[in-house]
Amino acid sequence: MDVPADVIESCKRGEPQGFEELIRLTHKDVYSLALRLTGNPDDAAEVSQETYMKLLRVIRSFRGDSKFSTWLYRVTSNVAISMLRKRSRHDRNVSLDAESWGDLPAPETADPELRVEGRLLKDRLDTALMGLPEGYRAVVVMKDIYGLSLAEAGKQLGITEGAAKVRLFRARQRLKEVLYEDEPAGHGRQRRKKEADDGLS
Amino acid sequence: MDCREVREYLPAYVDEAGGPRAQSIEMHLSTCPECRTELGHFREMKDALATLPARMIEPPAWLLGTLTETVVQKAARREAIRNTAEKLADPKVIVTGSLVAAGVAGALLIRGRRRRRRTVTRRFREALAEA
Repeated sequence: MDVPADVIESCKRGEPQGFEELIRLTHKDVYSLALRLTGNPDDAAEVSQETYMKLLRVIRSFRGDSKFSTWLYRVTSNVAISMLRKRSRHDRNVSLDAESWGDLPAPETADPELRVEGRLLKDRLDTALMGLPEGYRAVVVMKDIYGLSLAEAGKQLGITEGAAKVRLFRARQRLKEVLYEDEPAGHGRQRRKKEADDGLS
Repeated sequence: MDCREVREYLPAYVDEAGGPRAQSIEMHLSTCPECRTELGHFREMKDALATLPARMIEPPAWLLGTLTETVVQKAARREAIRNTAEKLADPKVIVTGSLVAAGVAGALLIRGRRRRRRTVTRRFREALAEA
């Protein structure tokens, strides 16, 4: 994401054309982060709109201490987590508060798309992320993907930095299981290659 | 440390190669190719995750238009309000406004006095006529 300084300054002055340009330059990044956090396209669109409405109010507080992209990711994740938090009060399927390992569902093994050898790992990551519960996915998305600190992620989720760290490690473990299967290293790949060869022959 | 213990720490070790258990983990890794492969998986996954921001998910086609319309309209309203407030805060506008207000107030005062005077005169004449 590359936002020229003059666009940021124009937005700080509250000029509509500044916001128009800012939205044009950043809406895909904002939507992608929102979708990775919420897991739902409608929610991601709502979060995107809320994020820019919030920017109207708070962009003057951007002092340039951090990169604008990091600051925008922070605002977006803040809006998304607030929405998930409100929703979790009404919907049992949405939970940001799951703490125990037992709350994590078993890895999704039914989706053969995740297991096809030869596809790039990056192509499968977004799908694998969606299999994580919101509270775990949020930490991975904020820390490992968008580079926010664990303290920041914990603050946004209303948990301690230590609790955020625990969630991160558990989520990484679960992602690794989904992406590589939890088999003795090397054996799974060899077996899948053999199966693929058998299937071709 | 055995494989089970080492693998439990690998999700953290991938960040903190110099952590408190690093020596024991490294000792195990030097002799265990399976755990080295596991660590490789975590590293590969972590590197791949860090590339995701550049891999944007295409939003629905209507989103850009909706965002622009809603947000830019709101920004325009805020700008109009701010401009009006700034104009009202201009010393020239304040002085002119004060003079106009004083003029209007003066005119109303004079008009009221004249009206009262006419009413008194009319009543005096009516009283005289009755007498």
